[in-house]
Amino acid sequence: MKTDLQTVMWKEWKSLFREGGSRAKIVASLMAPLLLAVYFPFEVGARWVSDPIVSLLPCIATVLVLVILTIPDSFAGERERHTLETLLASRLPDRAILFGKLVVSMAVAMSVALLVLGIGLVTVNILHWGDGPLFYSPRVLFIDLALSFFFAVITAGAGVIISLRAETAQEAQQMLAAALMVPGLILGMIPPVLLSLRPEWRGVIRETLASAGYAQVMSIIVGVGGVIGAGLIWVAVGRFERHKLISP
Amino acid sequence: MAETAIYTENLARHFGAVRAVDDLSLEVPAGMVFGFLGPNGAGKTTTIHLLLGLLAPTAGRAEVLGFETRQQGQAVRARTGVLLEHAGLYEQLSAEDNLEFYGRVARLPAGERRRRIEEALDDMDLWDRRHERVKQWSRGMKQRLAVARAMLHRPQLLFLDEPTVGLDVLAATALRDDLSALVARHGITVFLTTHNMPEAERLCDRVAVIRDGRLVDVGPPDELRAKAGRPNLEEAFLVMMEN
Repeated sequence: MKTDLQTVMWKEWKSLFREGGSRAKIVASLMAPLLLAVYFPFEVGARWVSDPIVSLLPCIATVLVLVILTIPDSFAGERERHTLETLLASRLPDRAILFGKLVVSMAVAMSVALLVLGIGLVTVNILHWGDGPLFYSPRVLFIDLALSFFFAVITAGAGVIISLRAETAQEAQQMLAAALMVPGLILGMIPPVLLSLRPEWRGVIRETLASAGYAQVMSIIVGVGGVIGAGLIWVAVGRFERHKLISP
Repeated sequence: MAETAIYTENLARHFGAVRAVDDLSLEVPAGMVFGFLGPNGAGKTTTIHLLLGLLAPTAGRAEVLGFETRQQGQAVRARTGVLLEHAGLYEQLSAEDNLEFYGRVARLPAGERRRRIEEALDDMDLWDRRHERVKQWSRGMKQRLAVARAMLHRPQLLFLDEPTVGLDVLAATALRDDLSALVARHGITVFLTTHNMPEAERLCDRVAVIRDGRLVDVGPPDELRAKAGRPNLEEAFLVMMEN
């Protein structure tokens, strides 16, 4: 399984960086997160390394952009280019094909998220050199990387499920972008819902959040993210059936 | 090697009301070029999908190289090579990278992989263009590369789904010559679908004719010609389609 997984990853990696159009698209899409990695430290100074929320935003933006760019192509792109049937007619096991594609997409996204953190760190040290070098606190680094990873897993899991059935990579990309808007809309509805609550209920929520420690909040977020991510990957494994991927 | 390369018994595959393959019973002895002839939509490609274990049969069963296709699809796919309706090449990659990938898929050791890739590209007269992206190539060159890929792991059985469709006369002739040479050298069984009767007549030891998913007749080309009382397989085929 390990050798087969590496084989699929080798091909995915080569394809990703040999395709002229796709390479240009990835470089162009990286400009915004990389600029944020310079702009944010420039604006907020030392808070870049001490406040996890500040550095989290460019990391998550990077992960989302890269996974949305790469994962829809995984199966829908192969179907569109008529390479899927031959790939499925090979001896490669189902899971090697599926996970090889998932891992490359997520690894690229996480590598660039690390690059964003690195660029941000260099920027903040150049601009705010005072009492010596600044570095991320372990808490900031853990939150940024853990949440970026969960966003990568959730987006890649949803993306691969869509890509397994979509006819073209463009169709899969549009469907994934639309699907990702749903949690965004739900999160956007939280403030108005909270404001519409009776004052005493709002007080209870405020007190609960204030009394919850950092470890508790993180455990909840990591737990929920883990369950959603694992659930999506499990669904993708279940939906990977060769006979359903072959057109009659 | 099994003496019978392919064995099917009342094999059927239905898509809703459409009977793509219907009650197909067939035996293909090992070591021959077997032609599977039929018009468009006759069920040729679906039969290949069933034999590779990519589709589950609605009824009946199939054995390829002694493996049951429903339960042992992976064993079948490990021992077979394919050139399906589309060449299935990664066009953004070079010819060499395409073969490298499928060499890795077959788990050929690095040195052996290297040697076979060189030999395959040389055999197909593509060595000088090995670094070029396949995207830039003609259809004939792509088909030759796809044959090289299908043969790289020395399969016991090769499935070719209309390999010369869309090729000009020169490219089709070159591909047929390459195929004949490879088959003679490696002694493999070939399951060839085509609706090009002169091609079948030239390449195949035995042919089966299929229409609407059902087997019409099977035998050596000479025998089918004689049965229909026609001078060539093309005319014999037309007679079989009319009856």
